[in-house]
Amino acid sequence: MSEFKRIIAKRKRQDLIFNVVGIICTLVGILTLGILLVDLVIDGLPRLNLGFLTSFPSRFAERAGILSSWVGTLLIMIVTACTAVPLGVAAGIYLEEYARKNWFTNLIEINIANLAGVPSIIYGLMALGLLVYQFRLGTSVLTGGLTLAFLILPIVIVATREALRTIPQGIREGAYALGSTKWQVVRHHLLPYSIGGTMTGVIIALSRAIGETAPLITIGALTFIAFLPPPPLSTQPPFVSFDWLWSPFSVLPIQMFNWVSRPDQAFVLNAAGAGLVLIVITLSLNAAAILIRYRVRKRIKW
Amino acid sequence: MNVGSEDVSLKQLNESTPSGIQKSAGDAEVSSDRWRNRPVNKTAPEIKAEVFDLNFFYGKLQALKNINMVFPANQVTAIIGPSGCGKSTLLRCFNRIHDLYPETRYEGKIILRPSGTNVIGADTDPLEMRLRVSMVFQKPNAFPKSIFENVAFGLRLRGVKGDELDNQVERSLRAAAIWDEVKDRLRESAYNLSGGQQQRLCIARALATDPEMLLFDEPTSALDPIATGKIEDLIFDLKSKITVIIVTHNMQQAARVSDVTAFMYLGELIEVSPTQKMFENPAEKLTEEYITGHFG
Repeated sequence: MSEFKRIIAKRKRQDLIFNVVGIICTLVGILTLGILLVDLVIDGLPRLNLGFLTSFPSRFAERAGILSSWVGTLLIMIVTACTAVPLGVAAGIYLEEYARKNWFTNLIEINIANLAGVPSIIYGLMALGLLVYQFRLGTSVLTGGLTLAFLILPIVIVATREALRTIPQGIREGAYALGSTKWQVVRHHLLPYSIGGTMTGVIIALSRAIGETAPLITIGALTFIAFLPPPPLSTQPPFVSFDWLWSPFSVLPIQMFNWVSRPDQAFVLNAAGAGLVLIVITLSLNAAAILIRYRVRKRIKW
Repeated sequence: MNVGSEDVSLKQLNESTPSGIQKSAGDAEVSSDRWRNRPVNKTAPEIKAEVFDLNFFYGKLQALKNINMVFPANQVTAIIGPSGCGKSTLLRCFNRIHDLYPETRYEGKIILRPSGTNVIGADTDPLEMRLRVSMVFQKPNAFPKSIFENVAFGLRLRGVKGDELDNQVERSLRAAAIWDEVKDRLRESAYNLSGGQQQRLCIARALATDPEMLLFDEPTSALDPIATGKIEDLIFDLKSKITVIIVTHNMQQAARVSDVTAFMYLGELIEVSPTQKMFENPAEKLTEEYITGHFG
């Protein structure tokens, strides 16, 4: 009996040791993030006011704001979402539902997984060579949006495929058994049932793209810009304008990068303020993703 | 051709060559001791489907070997046999659902009567067969849509609209004996229904499109005994309107609901007989061993 007790005591000790080590490891990560956040809030919160959000950058730290950069971020995200989502979802559906499994589609699959791991600056170089020089799109909102769309395309494709894979095969068979064509199955069943998972993936991908700096600097995004792109809507016909696509731009992380690199401490506080805005946007996007996932799971449980 | 009873005529149906076995009504007499006192067809059954030399392959694996049999119209034919014997594979040939998967191959013919369509013919569109032959699956696979939309989907595919759509949905739900339970909650999600109700909803969905045949692939294996009883009653009632094939691994179920039973083993059809004969006095030793539980 005592032999058993000895063994059990030893194993419980091992259990306890791993428990403690695990807690420490977890805390290292969480505490670091927490301290960073608190530091950012302490530095940045005093700078956050309406003036900061509605002013252009300036030589004077206290008058400088992030108007042009948050507008730039918003426009870039619109272009990115409008291109990456249809392309990525369509590619995901094709690969998962239409493509025959052979060596060629296997090759494509492996490469998509690899593309998700390519450093973002490589995408910047590709965009510089292809979009800026070859297609002569210039350093525009369009170029920036397309660059980030390339960057998140693999993530959107993978998210779409994962979402499609969670749909049980029985549902597909049921729909086909009623005489549906492939497109009818996709349109009336697979798309609506997978939209939650796909949207979650898309939002996570966008929240990654929103913080990207390197590829946009590579294509030549401005670090100082004191005007807004032309508005998309106007009071005169034709009322809708796409001139903003060709406008130069800056984005929040680039504005931050610019301010942090200045010697004046006041600009560093501005950077903290911009950083706070960026983090709030990112966390809201992630919260939206969690909310969507939760609601879809409540509605559809396989 | 002198036929003594329905039993004998069925036996001959499955043993003689399929051509020339249509008999006039007067040839058949009624056997008195039918299983479970059910009403008996006074005429020899018409044929709904004939299977000739059917072979089926998953890649290089041959899952069905030289199947020859007929399925009588407006009767329930049960297919029994141990797991992996090919019973579901045979069933799934009838709506060409195998075509969804790569490297599947058919040989032989399945002829539907009276149209004469070869279900597995190279020039037969699988879509057409799925529009004509409905299927109910092992696991209830209601769509995550409203109860109404579940039944309406197959009708919408065929272009049914408006009042006609409403009427046909109601008619199908009634036919599947679930109307009274769902009539006040047609807009609710089908996932609020119990497993047994979902399976009856799937039957309503399958009936909505007025199919020539209804295929059941172990429809009660995921259900409790009470839900199973309701489905079995339903299947029994359905045969006055439609030809039914049911695959089941539950021999009592085959005995309860079917008129004809086919026993399969290792991809081969061992025996087809009227259900009562099959369970009381099977012709083949293998069938007897399986039914009495000596293997399987």
